[in-house]
This record gives sequence, C-alpha cells and structure tokens, in this order.
Amino acid sequence: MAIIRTFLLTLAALALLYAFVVQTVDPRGDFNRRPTASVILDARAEKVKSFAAYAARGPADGLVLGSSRSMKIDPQALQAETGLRFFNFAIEGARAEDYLALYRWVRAQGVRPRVILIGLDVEALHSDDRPESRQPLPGTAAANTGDPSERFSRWLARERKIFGASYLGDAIRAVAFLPWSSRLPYYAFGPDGYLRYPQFEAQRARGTFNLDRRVANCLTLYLERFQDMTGLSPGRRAAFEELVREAQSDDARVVIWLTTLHPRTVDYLARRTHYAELLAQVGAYAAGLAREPTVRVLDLSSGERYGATASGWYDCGHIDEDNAARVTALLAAAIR
Amino acid sequence: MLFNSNVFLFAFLPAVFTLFWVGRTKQQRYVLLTVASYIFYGWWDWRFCFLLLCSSLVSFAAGLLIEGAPTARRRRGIMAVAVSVDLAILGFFKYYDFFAASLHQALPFLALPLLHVILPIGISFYTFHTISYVVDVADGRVRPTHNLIEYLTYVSLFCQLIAGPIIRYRQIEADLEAIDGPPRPDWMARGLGFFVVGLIKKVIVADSIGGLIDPMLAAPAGLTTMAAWLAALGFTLQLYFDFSGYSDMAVGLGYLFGLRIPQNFDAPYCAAGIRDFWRRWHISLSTFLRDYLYIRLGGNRRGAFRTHVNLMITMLLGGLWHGANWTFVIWGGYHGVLLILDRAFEPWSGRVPAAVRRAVTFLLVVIGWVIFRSTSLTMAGTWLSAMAGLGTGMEVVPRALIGWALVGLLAVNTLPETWDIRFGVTRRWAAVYAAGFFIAYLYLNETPTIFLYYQF
Repeated sequence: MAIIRTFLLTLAALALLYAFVVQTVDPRGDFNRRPTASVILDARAEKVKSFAAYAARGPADGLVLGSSRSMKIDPQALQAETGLRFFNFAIEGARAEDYLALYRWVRAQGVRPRVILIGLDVEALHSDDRPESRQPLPGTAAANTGDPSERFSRWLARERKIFGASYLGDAIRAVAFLPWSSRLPYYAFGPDGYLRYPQFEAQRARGTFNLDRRVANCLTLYLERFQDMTGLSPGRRAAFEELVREAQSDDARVVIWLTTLHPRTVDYLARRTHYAELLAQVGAYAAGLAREPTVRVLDLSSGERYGATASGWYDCGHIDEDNAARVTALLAAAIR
Repeated sequence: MLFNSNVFLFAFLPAVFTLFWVGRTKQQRYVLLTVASYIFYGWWDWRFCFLLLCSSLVSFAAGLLIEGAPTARRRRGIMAVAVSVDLAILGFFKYYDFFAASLHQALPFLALPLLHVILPIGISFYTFHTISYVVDVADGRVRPTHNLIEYLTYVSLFCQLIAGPIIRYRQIEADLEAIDGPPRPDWMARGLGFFVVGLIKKVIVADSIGGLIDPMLAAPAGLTTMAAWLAALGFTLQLYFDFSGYSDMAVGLGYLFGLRIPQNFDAPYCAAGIRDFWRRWHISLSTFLRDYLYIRLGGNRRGAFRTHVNLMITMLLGGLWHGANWTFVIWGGYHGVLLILDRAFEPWSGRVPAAVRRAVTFLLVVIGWVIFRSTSLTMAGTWLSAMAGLGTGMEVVPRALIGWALVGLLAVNTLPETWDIRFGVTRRWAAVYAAGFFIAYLYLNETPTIFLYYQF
C-alpha cells in the first residue's frame, strides 16, 4: 500500500501547490488579487470601478447595456452626435437579469441616466435560466449575503473551477502579461467603458490579423451556447420587461437594438441549432416592447441592416470600429 | 456513475477501495464488491438493478441445474432456456422498438406499438457475461460456482459492468477464488498505471478530438472533402482512445482489487489485414463472437461457402449487438464482406508489402467507422459522398483537429499499447502516476463526457 499512499500524498501536494499558484496569479480576477492583467474580459469588476470615476467627472446621461457584442459602441461618438455623456456598461456574457442588475446598481449609485441603450442578444433570453457563475456585483445584496451555506457553495464552485485546463491556460497566459512583458493585452477598457483590442489592432496594423481563422476557432463556442437554447426564458423576459419599466418610471428613454453575429456564424448556427427561429422570436418580442412610446427598437441583427462590411469583425460575434461606427450612428439617430 | 466523474474518483472509489482491503475474508470482499457494483449501476437508474439481478440469478441457477443434469440432452436444454431468457431480455430492451419500427416500414399494415423502452446501460455486456458462463458450464469448460455472492460479483463487477471488457468466468475465476489475498505492490502499481493512462487517453485525447468533430458531424451536409476525411479520421482516433482508455481504466481498477481483467486492445490500427484488425480490436467481443457464435455455426469446417455465410452472420449480428440501428447492421455487413475478401485474397496478400497492407486496412477501417458513427443511413451517405468529393459543403476544418489527427496517428503507430508498458512499481513512479492523474483531472473537470461504448 506504500505506492498508494505516495500516490495520494503526491496528488494532494500537487493540488495544493496548483491551487496556490493559480490563486496567486488569479487570471480571471476571481480572488481579487490580480497581480497580472486579466486575460479574459472581466468587465463587471473593471467597469464597476471605472463607472464611479466616470460619474464623478460629470453627468452620466446615457448608459449602454449589453454583452461583449455591445462593448464597441463608442460613448464619445454618441456624445458627439447627441451631446449626451454616455458610459458603456456592457459586460461579457450578459443575460437579461444582468442588464437589470446593472441598471439598478447604477441607480443605487445615485446616477439617473436619461437614455438607456440596450444591445439585446438572442441568448440574453436563454431558456437555460442558469445564471453565469461569476462574482456578484460589489454592493449588491448577493455580494453581502451572510448565509454560510451559500458562501460555502460559492467558494466550492470557485475552487472547483480553478481545477480546469482552460483555467490553467489562462493562468499561463496571464503570466505572459506580467509587467516586464512587452506583450500587448487582448482587451483594454477606456474610462468610459469603451472596449479596445490592442493586440488585434496591432495585428491589423501589421497586416497579420487573420479573421477567417479567428472565426473558424470560435464557431464551436457559439454552438455550445445555442445548442441547448430551446426558446425564450419567461423569467428573463420578465427581467427585461422590468428593466424597461424601471427605466420608464425614471423618465429614461430606451433604445433596444438586436445585436448581430458574423454571417458565417449565423449560417453555422442556423444549420445546427434553432438560432433562426430564436432570432425571429426575439425580434417579435422586442417589437412588442416598441409599442411603448418611450421605447424604440432597431433590428440590426443582420449586417445588411446597418451596411456592415465583411471585414469589419474581430471574430464570430464582435464587430470592429468600422461596423460599430455604423451601428452607433443609427443608435444616435434613434436617440435624436 | 462514470469512471471520469468526481463522485466516482473522490467518493465511490476511495470508499470501496478502503473497505475492500479492510475486509479480510472472501465473503466479505464478495459482498462489498457486489453491493458497491449495484450502487455503481443503480446510480444511473436503480430500477434496472433488478434486471441485472434477474439475469444473474437465472444464469446462476442454470449453472447449478446443468451440473446436476443427468444427460447431455438435459444439459443442452437447460442451457438453451437460460440463453433464451438472457437473449429475450436483451432483445426486448434493446431491439423491440427498432424491430417494431422496421417491421412497420417494411409491412405498413403491421403496426406493433412502439414502447419507447429505455435501454438499460451495460445490458449488452452483462448479458454476454451470463451467456458465456452458462454455455461454458454446459460445455464442461468451467465448473459452476456454488457461491451466489461470488457469481454476483463476477457479473456485476463495476470495473467492467458498463462497457466491458467481456470477461468469461474462467478468465477471472482463479482471481475471484484468491480474492482474500493480501495486496500485491506490483498489481497496485499496474493498477494505478493502467488507470492513469486510460484516463489520459479518454479525457485528454478522445474528448479533445470529440469536441472538434461533433459540431462538424452535427451538419454533415456542410462537410467539404477534406473536412469529411478529417472528421472520419478524427472519429477513428476518438473511438480508439475513448474505448481503449475505458478498457485500460477497467483493467487498472481490476488490479487495484486483485483481479486481472483481460486485454481488450492490441494496437488495432497497426493491423495488416481485416482479420488481423479483429484480433486486435475489442478482443473480448471478437473472441466471444468467434467462440460462441461463429464456431457454433460451424466455423470454417463446412467448406468455403458455408464459412463465408458463417462469417457474414457473425458480423451482421456483431454489428447489431452495437445498437438498434441499420447503420450498425450495415457496418457489420461491411466488415463481413471485408473478412470474406481477406480470406479470398489470402494467397496473394502475403506478397504485398506489410506497410501497404497496414495502410489499406486502416483506410478500410476508417470508412467503416463512418457508417458506425452515422446516426442514419442518410447521414452515412452524405458523409461518404463528401469523402468521395461529391459534397457541396463549405465547412472550415478546425486547425486543432489537424493537429490532433497528426498526434493521434503518430501515437497509434509508434507508441506502445498500454499492455506493453512496463509500469514502474517504486514510489517514484507513484509520483509520476499522480502527476498524470492530476493533468488528466484538469481536463476531466472542464466538461465530463460519457464513454462512447456506454451507449452499446
């Protein structure tokens, strides 16, 4: 049995060592250590911090809500067109309940936006009704919960998550972005929440950016996201409607636009999932909301609707500055 | 319960392992293994434990009755009844809906009700265990056990209950009889080694490849010629690493409990001929089919034509054993034809260089796996058409799949089969096994998947 004992002791030692290293590197900002740049988008944490500074410098007249697909909506361009000062509060993987939570959080900070722009993704109303396993927003009830069992299960889920190959991969990538490294970060947020992709921008400048490869590499991620989506979640629709109601009661105007995916992604998903039907359902749902006088809906779910260029993408679902400028112009016109 | 699940690795296995070695007597260990195996099986659906128990009791009783039967004719009669009961259970649960639907398609005026029967996991495997036991007892190859718990341990042993290898009682009888022995350090080391290698094969190689080809095969009409070939190659490798990984884990678990489970794979993709392939692939099934079906049908003792007929029947039924779908029947028939051709060309094939024979065999096997993996004949046709250059798809091949295909091909052609690895028995090796386990666990913990052969 000596060999079994050695096996188990080595395994325990490896697990402890690994947990210590990845928690120290903290590549996803799960442990609030973050000595390195985050290698994944962590807009929740970053934007919560930068919003306070942004709001302190002047009024936040408008708010952009949505997922990472809405992060390229440029607040400065919106301000130039409308005269209103915007903050882009789009966060990755956002679902309808996230939009609502963010709006409430902003209101809890004493900020009262006059315009709410919401980039509505199909999967924001995903039928799985499974919240993303992320840290709750600071200052929210969920973050301050004193329930030990909930805290324990959250701790357990977080600890379990770190024992994964992709987490290790992120930790290794994070180390590559240590201060002495000359590598550009993948992502960077401006003080107004606007997203930039420094590494891809540099690749584009050098002419080495390969859009086809990037799209090919992310198709399956979108497939995973959509393959178990069977319809629109009633709970999420309720959260979305609550957001619209609360914004209206705060006298804010609401502009909703249906976000877009790369044409190859759309084609790929349409052949494998219910994407086309789901998109139609979301379109009909949003059109129903547009009956309210203070709500406008723009269907920008395909590139033709806003004159998208074929090369104006970073990957399967994220438009570049050029295509984002076209969307932004339409949003600004809708606000005016 | 899956071997690659947290509950198995961190609760079930440590508990059963500890209790097993705390127990001292044979009976204690039989009882523990049996109870543990039924928990393992019932974790999926406890109701089917009764089916497993029923099948075990029928064959156990048949063994005793055969032993006491005064004449050969009575022995054969009891054997026939017991085997019929086993096959009836298997036939109902696995094939009823398939035959009802197929019958209705062929004869629309005959509409048997579809019962949507749930397929009990592992039923194909444990049914073959019980059949082999009864037939071997009737043939006088083994003496029936009088210890019911020992027999229940043999049939339900969790290491191999769900997806084999198909173990014959005589292969494990000696180890079951000596189950009260002390732990052997060399077996412990081999157990850890086999288990870790199997886990790595499954969760790192097979699951990575599966994650790349499954989305491609969700829409086979979109496959280009290159994508179709790479998907076929990918599945060829995925299936091998998945199933041989499972078999290695089963062997490893067996060693940890003092039981030697027989070899199920022997570098099948290095085979230089289809007969050679079947001597190396899923050995426990191919030898079962050979001994309990092909030879019973007359084997090669009744002339060339009858040999070919026997081969074809064996392979068609072997294909059907894999699942209630015409694709499996056609896959079996395809291999039947290849085996017949293999025999027919035997006088000349020896003159062909071994490397060419290996390449041709591999190619034929890959084509066969396309039929095997397809969920319908339409899908098989679409996929094979795309491979033949007749597809109209625009599917982009993930670059990672090209990498995995190259790595996989290199591995199956150059690395030793797990059985040829000489696992170290020193403590230093335990650290190596732990490191291997830990790396595999990082993959496993992302998205645990089932083993491909669980569905059979």
